[in-house]
Amino acid sequence: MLRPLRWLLLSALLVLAACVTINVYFPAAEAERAAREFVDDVIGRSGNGQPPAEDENRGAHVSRFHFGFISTAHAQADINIRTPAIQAIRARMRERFETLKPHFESGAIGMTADGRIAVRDPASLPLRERATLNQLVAEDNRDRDAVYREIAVANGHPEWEAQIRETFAREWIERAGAGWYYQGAGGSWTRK
Amino acid sequence: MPQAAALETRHELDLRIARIAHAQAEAEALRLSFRPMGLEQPARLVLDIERLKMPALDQELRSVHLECEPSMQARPDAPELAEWACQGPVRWRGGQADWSLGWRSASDLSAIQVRLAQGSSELVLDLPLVGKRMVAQARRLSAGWMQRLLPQWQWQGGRIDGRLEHTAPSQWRGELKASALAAQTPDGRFALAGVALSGPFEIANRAHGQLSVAARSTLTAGEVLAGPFYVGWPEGSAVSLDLAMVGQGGRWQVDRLSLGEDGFSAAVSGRLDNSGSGGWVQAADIAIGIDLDRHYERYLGGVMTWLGQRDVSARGQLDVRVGLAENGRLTRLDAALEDVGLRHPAGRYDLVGVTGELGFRDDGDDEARTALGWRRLGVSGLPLEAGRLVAVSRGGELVAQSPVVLGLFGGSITLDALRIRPFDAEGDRLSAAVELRDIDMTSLATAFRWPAFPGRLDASLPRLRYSGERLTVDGELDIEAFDGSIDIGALAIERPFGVAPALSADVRMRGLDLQPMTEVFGFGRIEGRLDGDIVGLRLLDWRPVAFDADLRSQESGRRRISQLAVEQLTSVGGGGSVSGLQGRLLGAFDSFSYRRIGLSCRLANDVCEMGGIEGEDGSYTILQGSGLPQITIRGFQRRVDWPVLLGRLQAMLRGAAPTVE
Repeated sequence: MLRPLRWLLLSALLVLAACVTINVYFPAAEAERAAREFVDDVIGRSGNGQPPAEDENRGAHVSRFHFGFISTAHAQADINIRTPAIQAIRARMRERFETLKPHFESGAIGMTADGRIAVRDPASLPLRERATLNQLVAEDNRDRDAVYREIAVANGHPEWEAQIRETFAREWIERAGAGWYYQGAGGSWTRK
Repeated sequence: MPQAAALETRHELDLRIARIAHAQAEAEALRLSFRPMGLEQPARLVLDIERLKMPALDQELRSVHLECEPSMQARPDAPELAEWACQGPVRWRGGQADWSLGWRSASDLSAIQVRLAQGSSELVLDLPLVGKRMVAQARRLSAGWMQRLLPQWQWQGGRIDGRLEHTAPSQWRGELKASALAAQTPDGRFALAGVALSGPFEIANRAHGQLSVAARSTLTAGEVLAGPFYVGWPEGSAVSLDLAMVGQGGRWQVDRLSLGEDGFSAAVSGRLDNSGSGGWVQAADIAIGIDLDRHYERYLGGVMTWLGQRDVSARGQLDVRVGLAENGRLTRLDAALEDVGLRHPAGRYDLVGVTGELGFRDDGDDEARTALGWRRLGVSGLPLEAGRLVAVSRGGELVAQSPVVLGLFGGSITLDALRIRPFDAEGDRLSAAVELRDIDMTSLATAFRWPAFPGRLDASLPRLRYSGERLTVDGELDIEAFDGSIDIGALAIERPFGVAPALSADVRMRGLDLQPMTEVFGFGRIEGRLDGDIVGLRLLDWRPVAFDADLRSQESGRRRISQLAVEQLTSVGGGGSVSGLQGRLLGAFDSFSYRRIGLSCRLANDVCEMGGIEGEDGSYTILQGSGLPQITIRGFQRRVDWPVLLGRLQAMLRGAAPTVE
C-alpha cells in the first residue's frame, strides 16, 4: 500500500531535482556604484570624504527553494538610475544642495542613518530661516524617499528598498564634508 | 515669627533666626549683624540667609549674603525730610556678581522700599506698613531675569518694564511692557524673536502655592516659531493677546491663550509642562478662524510649504475647531467653510466655492455630520463639476451617506460606498467603488494632451483604494474604445500627488478598429483590427520606463495599409532603405493588402528589445503582405535605444517626415 506512495514521492523529488534554483543576489557592488554616482552628482566632489574601503563581500543575498543538489543560476540585476524622472529629482536635489550646504557646515542639519537628512541644531538661526530650513529638509526627504523606492521597484524588487537606502546612507556619509554631522545607528550625532 | 533669638550687648548686634515663613517666601538660618556707626567707621549691616525659598517663582537660593552701609540721608523728593538708606552688593551660590540690594525707609519707618538691581535692570518694591498697598516696579529687566523665572527656555534678549500692585489680600494687578523679547526651547523648535507687547495683567494666589495669571496685551511686532508653524508680524502690527492660566514654576494649565487681529483669531487651551519627560507644550483644544484671502499666506503658508504644497493660493472663510488627546492624536474636528477655494500652481488641484460643514470624530461613539458642497473640483487638470458630500464620522472614519456624483465632460464619475480614514497609517485611507459613465473621450484626451480620441468612456471599478501613498484599483478597468475593448488590470499609482508618481498596470486590448485609431494618430491609414497586450507597464512621472508590449493584427476582415503607414512602420522598426525598383513600386500604389502585422517591444533600462512575427532565421517580420504587390517589412534591429524610438514616434505624431536611416 505504501509502495505506490513511495514511488510518487520519489518521482516528485526527481521532478524537483530538474528544477532550477535562481538565487537573486542583492547587487551590492552595482548599488554602491549607482549610489556613488548619484551622491557625487548632488554633492559635487567638494566634501573631503575618504575613499570607501574595498570590501568584496558586502552584499546580502536572498535565496529561494535552495536544495543542495540542484543546479543554480545567477540573476545579476542592473541598478539603473537613468530614467528621466530620477534625473529630474537628481537635478533638483543638486540645486537644493547649494542652499543646504552652509547648514551642513554649521551643524544645523545632519545626515541620518537611513539616508535622509534632519534638522539637528537650528538654535543659531533666525526664526524665518529656521522655518525655511524645515521646509527644505522636508522636501529633500520626500525626494530621497522617492528615489530609494523607485530604484528598488524599477529593478523588480521592492523589498530591496531598505538595502538601497542603507547603501545610499553610507555613500552620503562618505561624501560628507569635514565637520558635518551624521547619525549613527543608535541615533547619536557624530561629527566627521 | 522668630522661633529663637540671641541678643548680645556689644558693639555689634548679632541676630540669628532659625526660620521665617511667609506665604510667598521662606527663609532658613538667617543671621543679621549690625555694627553701629563709630568715630572712624560707617555703620555696617550684614545679612546672611542660608536658604531662601520662593515657591511661587520656583526659586531656591543658598548662602545669600548681603552687605551694605546704612546711612541717614535727605529724601530726594522732599529734602527737608530724612530717610534711612542702605544699598550694597548681594550674592548667592551660583549667582552673578553684579547684583545689588538696598532698602530705603522713612525715618519714622512708615514706608520701606527695597531695590534689587543688576546692571541697569532694577526691581523696586514699595512695602506697605500701614494703610498702603505693596507696589513692585520693574525697570529694564533684561533677559537674564527671565532666565531665572523660566529656566527651561533660553532667554536671549529683550527688555521688560512693568508695575505690579497688591490690590487685595491675594491679588496683584499691573501693567507689563516688553520689547525685543527673544527666547527659545533648547532644541530650537519653539521660539520667539523681536516680540514687543504691552498691556495689563493680574496675578492671584491659589491653593497649594499655585498662582493664576490673566493678561491682555497688544503685540506690535514679533516672530513666533512652533514646530513647522512660523508667523511674523512686522513693526506696527496690532495683534491682541489674551492669556488665562493657573499653575506654578514650570507647570501651567492654560485655560485660554488666544491671539487675534482683523480677519484672524486663534485660541489654544492646554498645558505647559517642562518638569517631566512629556512634551513641553501640549495643546488640548485649538480653535482658528481665518479669512483666507487676507491671512492664508501669513498663518498657513509656512506649514503648507512644509507639507509639500508650495505656492498654493487660498480664499474664503474657514473656521475650524480641533480637539487633541494626551498623545497628540486628533479626536475631534469641526469646520465651517464659506466659499473656500484652494489652488495648486501646477494645476494638481483647484477647488472652487467649497461651502458647508465638515465633522470628524475619533472619540468613542461620538458622531459628527458633514454636508459639504462645491462649485468646481479640478483634479490633475480634469474639471469636475459641482457636487455634494454628505457623510457621518465616527471612530476615526468618515462614511458617505449617499453616492458622490462628479460631473465630467458631459458624463459623470460616481463614487459609491466612499469611506475615508484620514489617519489610518496601515489600512486604507480612502476606499470607494467608482463608476465612469458616458464621459467624452475627446475632451478627456485633450485634457491629458493625447491625440483626440473619438468616442465615449464607460468603465466600472469595483474598488478604488488609497493606502499609504499608493492608489490601487481592485479588479479591472474595462474601457470600450475604437469598437473594441481595452482592459486595464492591476492598476496602481504610487505617490499620485507626490514626487515622481509611479503608475503600474497590465493592459489588454482586443479588437480595436485600426482605422479610426491610425487616423487619430496621424499614422497613415490601416484597416483591420488590433489585439495587444502590454504587461508590466510602468510609468514614472507619467513617462514609460518599462513594459512588455505585444501588438498583432487580427487575421480576419478587411486588411489594408496605406503607403504612408508603410513608411511610418518602416521607420519605427529601425528604418530601412527602399531604393531602386522597389522604391518606385512602393510609390506607385496608394495602399496594399496585408495578412498580418506584428510588433513587440520589451522595454527595460532605456532599451527596447524589439520583435514581431518571429522567423526561423532570427529575423522578424513587422508586416506580412498579401496579394500583389506584396509588401513585407522585416526588422533586423533587435535592441533599439528607447529615447531614440520615442523620438521617432513623437516626430510621427507631430506629422514630421520619417527619416530613413
